[in-house]
Amino acid sequence: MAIIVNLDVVLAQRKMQLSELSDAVGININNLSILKTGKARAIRFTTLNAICEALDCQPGDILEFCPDEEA
Amino acid sequence: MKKLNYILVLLSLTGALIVCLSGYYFFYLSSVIMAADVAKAGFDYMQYPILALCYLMLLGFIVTIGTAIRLVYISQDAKIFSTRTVKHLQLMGHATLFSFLSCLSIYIYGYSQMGKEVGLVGGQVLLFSACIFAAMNIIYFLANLFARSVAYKEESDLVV
Repeated sequence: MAIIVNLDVVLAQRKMQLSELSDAVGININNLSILKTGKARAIRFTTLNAICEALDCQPGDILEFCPDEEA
Repeated sequence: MKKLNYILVLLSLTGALIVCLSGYYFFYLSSVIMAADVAKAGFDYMQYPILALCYLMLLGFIVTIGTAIRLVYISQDAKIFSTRTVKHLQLMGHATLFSFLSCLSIYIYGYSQMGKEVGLVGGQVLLFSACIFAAMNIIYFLANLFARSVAYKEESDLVV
């Protein structure tokens, strides 16, 4: 898949742990880990909304499209 | 420790009893063959090949029934939608296919030796083969259905 998830980059910039983000958005840490490692097949708008709100960022900061790179 | 489900235990014992009775029945199949007039007119040599084919058919039934009972136990928890269930259903399908081929072989062998004299018993064997064939198709359909369901579930599990 050409969609790359840069959640770990944004978390590092905000100096936030995954567990803290999980508590902030109310999503299971296992699901967030699936998203962070790029194994997720889809993401709900509600989830994306909650993450962007918690991290104070844009969806484009988290999601990146790279058609020439292999997942 | 899981709480015993007495209905499932009763189902397992019933299945085991049916398998044992089937084995006992086929052990004395020669008397049935006599009743089917196979033993007359020099056809008594057919008893043992037919008996062997019946045991092969029974073997398929044992595997199918045992796997089915195991599936009933698996269905008690939430892990029913897994590749393990698909493999069990495929095993049941293969075992039923084996039984179908054994049963059909009985008819083909009987017809090849006796021709039209195979009579009503031959027709009954053919009808039984048709029933096994229908069951086999249903089991294979269920296996494919579960394989698709597992794929959908795995994809859904990866939706955040």
